[in-house]
Amino acid sequence: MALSLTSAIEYRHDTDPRLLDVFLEAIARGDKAALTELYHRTSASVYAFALSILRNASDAEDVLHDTFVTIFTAGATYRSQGKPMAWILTITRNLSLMKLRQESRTSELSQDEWALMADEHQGLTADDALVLHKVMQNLSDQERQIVVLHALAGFKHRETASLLKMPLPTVISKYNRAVKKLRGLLVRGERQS
Amino acid sequence: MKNSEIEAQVRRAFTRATPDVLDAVLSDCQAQKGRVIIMPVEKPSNPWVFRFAAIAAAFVFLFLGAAGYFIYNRDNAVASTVSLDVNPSIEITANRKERVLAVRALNEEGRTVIGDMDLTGSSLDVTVNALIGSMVRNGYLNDLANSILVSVDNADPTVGAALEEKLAREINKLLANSAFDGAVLSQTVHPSSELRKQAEIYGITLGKAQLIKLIIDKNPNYRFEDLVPLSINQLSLLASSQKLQLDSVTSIGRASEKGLIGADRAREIALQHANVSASDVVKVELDYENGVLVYEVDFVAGGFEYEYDINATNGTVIKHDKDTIVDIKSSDGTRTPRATPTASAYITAQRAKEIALAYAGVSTEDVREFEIELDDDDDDDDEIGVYEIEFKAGGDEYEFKIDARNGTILKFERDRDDDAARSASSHDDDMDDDDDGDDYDDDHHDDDHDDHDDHDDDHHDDDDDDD
Repeated sequence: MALSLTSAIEYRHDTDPRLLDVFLEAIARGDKAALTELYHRTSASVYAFALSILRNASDAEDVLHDTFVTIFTAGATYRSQGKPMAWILTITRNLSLMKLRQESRTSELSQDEWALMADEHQGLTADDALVLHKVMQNLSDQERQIVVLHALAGFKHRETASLLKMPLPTVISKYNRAVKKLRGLLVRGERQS
Repeated sequence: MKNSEIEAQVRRAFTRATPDVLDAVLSDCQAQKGRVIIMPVEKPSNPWVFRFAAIAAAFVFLFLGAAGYFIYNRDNAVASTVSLDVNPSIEITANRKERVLAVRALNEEGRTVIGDMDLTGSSLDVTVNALIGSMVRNGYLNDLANSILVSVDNADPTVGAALEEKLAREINKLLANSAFDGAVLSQTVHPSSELRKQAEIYGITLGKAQLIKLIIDKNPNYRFEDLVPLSINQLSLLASSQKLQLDSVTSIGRASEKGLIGADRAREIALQHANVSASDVVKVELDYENGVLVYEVDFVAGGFEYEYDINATNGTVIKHDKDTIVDIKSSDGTRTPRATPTASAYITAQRAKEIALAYAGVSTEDVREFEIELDDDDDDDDEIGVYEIEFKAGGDEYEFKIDARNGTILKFERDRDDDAARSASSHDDDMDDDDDGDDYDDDHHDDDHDDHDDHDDDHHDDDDDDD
């Protein structure tokens, strides 16, 4: 069955803190293989989180790049508290906010542009483009960040609350509202297509 | 739609949209590492002091150089060789500080796993982590093939055993995070020169060579080269099914049987085929014959001994044999003759042929090279009054033994006909005709070929995709 397929995908996003800690320790010693491995496992979360803050694909790509270069150079300063993913995404958040302040402009992608991206991007289907568009356009910034942290980085609401510096009940209610919105949008989207 | 489904859609979309900037990241990290900080140097004012300092410095350099060379040598000496075998086979050499000196793929799958990762200089931990991750991503470790063999070769047995244990634990932890149950076999390797040679000849790791040798020591029916193409999962299944105790191999978890039909199903198929209800099944055992994993099912029913080989992957009956139990001996050890049949009591050769063709589902006009022989000698082969029939049809060779008294099929075998296969595949290739030397190759080719297999495997694949 698709078991082997899903296992590969789940593994790819396996963000078991013990495992990431092994990589971060090695990165602190300048180990590039460890950086590569960390990248494979966490790049989607980093990119999605950056995109959910910046709402601009090329800015998010810059932040993706800068995050991993920063991890490599700052690796030595990392002290494991069992939360490597939170440390990584804090870097992503800081870099993204810096970028927002610098440019004070965001150019959002329209549905057509997402579709265009789907054409260029191997593996990105029209459905994916639709999902991306709905998430980017119909959720508030906070809702989007909360959903992305939960869905991609596997964050618990408590961890999201601490990273985004929001009260836990707010995170939970915003998450529920966001998922409800998406359910309506995606079901309707399915019917249209 | 459930929350988890919505999240899965979001996750998929963002993951696929993520651009790959790894190369840029790696090259920028390189640039950063090369930073040089230039310290301002003050010129000494006194030339004597300068000269003294220069001489002192020269001595210091000399000393550092020697020490450096010594350290360099120690750090580049191979202390441990670790091999990972799944089906991809990879060998890692590391120094005494567990820094990786080299990573080598021993087969094509191994090359795919390593890809363009440069692991030299990484710690052994990270390297093993990275390689296992890549094996899972590339689909070499999964629900159907979940076994990995870790072998450690270190001159110091204590160090080797400790490293073996550490790596096995680490890998087990890694696999515990995946969606399937992993099985980790581990061992320390004690390579004899003979073992090294075997490993080199077949291009496999010392670890796999040692595992194969352990199996052959326990079951001498196998030849080394026959077991080389098997994956660790398959080797592990063979060993456990035949209850071969591989004492020096530690294992965590069980090898996956999900790729096979299972012993119970094999037993069912054999009984059904023999048209016998539950009987004394003497033995169901996984075996490897002619390049195919088979369940050997032996049982006794209604005065007959049955022997079946069932393809372990798709359940086809590859071979079956039915014999009367002839072990009737009188107390003084002489054989009691069976009721002496008379020729008149036999069915005709024509009738025997009809029975065989009907059973094989072959029509008369398709039959080539038909031979029939009545074994009616009271020789020592226990076969009195048996028609031996051989013929070819389509791409197959058939062999029957039919009881001449009642027409019961005692033995049936169907094999791929090499000649037909050859002439069909290389019609205008006359070169082959005088070449007897390639008989071996032909046999080999024959081994893993079975029309039924192919068909069923395809079917299986379809199932996979649908889900």
